[in-house]
Amino acid sequence: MSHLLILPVLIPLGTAILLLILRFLPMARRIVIAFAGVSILGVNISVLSKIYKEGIQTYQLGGWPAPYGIVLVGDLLSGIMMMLGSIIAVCALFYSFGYLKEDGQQAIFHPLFFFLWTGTNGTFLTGDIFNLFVMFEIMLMSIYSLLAMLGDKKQIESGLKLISMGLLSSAIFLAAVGGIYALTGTLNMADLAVKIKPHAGHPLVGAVAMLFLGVFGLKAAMMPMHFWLPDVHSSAPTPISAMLSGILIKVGVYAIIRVFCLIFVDLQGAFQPFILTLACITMFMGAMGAVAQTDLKRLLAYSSVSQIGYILMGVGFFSVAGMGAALFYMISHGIIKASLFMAAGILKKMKGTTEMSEHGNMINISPVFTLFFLIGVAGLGGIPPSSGFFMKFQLIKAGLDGAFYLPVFVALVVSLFTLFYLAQSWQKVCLMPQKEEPTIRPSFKLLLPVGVLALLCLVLGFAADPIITLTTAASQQLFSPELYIKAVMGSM
Amino acid sequence: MNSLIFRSIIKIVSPILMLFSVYLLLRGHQLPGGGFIAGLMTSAGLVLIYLAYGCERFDWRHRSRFFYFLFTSGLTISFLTGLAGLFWGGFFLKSGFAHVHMPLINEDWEFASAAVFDFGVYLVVCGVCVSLMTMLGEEE
Repeated sequence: MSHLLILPVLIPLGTAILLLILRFLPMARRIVIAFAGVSILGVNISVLSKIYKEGIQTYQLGGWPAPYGIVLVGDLLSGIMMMLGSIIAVCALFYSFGYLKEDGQQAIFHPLFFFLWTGTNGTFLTGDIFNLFVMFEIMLMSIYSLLAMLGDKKQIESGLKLISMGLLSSAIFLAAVGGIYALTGTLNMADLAVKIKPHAGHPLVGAVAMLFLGVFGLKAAMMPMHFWLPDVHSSAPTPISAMLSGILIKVGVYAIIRVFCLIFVDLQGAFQPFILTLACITMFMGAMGAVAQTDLKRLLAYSSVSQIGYILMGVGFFSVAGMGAALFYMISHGIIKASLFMAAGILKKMKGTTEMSEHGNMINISPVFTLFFLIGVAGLGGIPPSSGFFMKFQLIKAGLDGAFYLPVFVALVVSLFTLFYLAQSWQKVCLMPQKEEPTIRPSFKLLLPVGVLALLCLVLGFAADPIITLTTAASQQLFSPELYIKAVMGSM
Repeated sequence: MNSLIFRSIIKIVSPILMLFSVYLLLRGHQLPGGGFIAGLMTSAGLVLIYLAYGCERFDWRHRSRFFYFLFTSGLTISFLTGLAGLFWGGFFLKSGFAHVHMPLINEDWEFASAAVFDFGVYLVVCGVCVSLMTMLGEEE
């Protein structure tokens, strides 16, 4: 029995506790953080390669076999999502050293950040629907505190919004879990997938599926439930904004994929029109919201809403190609959006605001910044050398193959708007003359993680082929749920 | 909140709450109870004392470090119990138990490592709840 699968949860948890203990030793904390960040990244790489080579991995917590105990299950989807999460998290960690004040702020920030990381990795790994709830809670608890940490008025207000959203969704989630437990008497996802088969057509199954879609849609900011996102993502401290838009909204999408590709397989057809419609509305309204913004961070937050629509559209096709495209989209969007948010944070550091009218002339102040920002813009806009082209191309192709002409049309129109608002913001920030010169220059510490992410975006574009192979393999695995069930239940 | 009636009642209620929480903590392995609920009950007792007597006898506000120490050590204990399961039991969070013969009462008692984990949870809940409540009670 290999213990590899527990490590992505164990290392961040241990690090967070160690950081709490080392509260008054800043130098020791730095060493611990550097060591932990690198080792989690390494562990996630080896987990992913192990899953790719040997198939789905399982781990029984406490030695209790499924379906009685709690299992961790790593399939390609969880491996890919964890990998994406750790790339963004490592960059955000590095960025936080330059962004936050040395002593007090970092002592609170870093332990919470590692609890957040524990929560995301746990969400991706858990094979138990109730534990999914627990991991969501760990994640949300850390975000509440991280959000209100700097304590200005706007952050407290958006923290309140996030808390009300979180409590509401937790309550609905619990009700849904209760409903499904009443029907099948199990909470293990693989066991659920087997035991729910005889109940096909039972009205409770449809109701529970709808509740799950609602809850995870709320977390992913699907359109009628997107109201909390722009405030929260724009007022959070920048490293957290990058994490929120880069990986945490995708946690909701991950849960939708997991639930509909494993448990409610029979309901895919019934839910398809619904998901596709919501995806189209989300895409369109998010982009409309973004066009109207004058604040760069709010613009990026609205753009996240719009991009979640694209990802949900890929999920909603319920085909191998569509799901693969959605996975590639998640990877690519996560990296690009994190780099854009971090770029906005540099502007915030320079003048204390992200209002675009206050900034300008960045091309003379910092050409490197301008280049990185441009790569991000090209990425989200879908211009060829960046990975953005492949993410949109694959999605559109999957849509045309499945004959979903209307969603494809909406996606194409919205991508024009995307390019428009991003190019406009780039032009405002980088080319337009500025009222008064900033006194602070962008520091190297802040530029490096942005550059790394921008470079990754280009690398993903030039070497898209291996990643597409990987995402396609993951999506094939998702559409044969019997592999997952056998991996979990076979280890009895 | 510092009326005579309230204070007199708290003098009786608080010790009962604490004793009962210890009872809940100890029975938690087999029966309803456990670290979380026991921690909540203990902190309820402590917060009641805080409400009744304020900072007259014990300066809650300047003891935040003590509560920080409580929940940090609680987390550490729980985490290390889990790790011990990994190293000696073969799985993370694997629980072990032993029967110990108690000399005076001449009975076999079962000690499970899960009880240590529970104790960690108890400390975390206590520390977090009390520090939250006293923070809310601060003037500013």
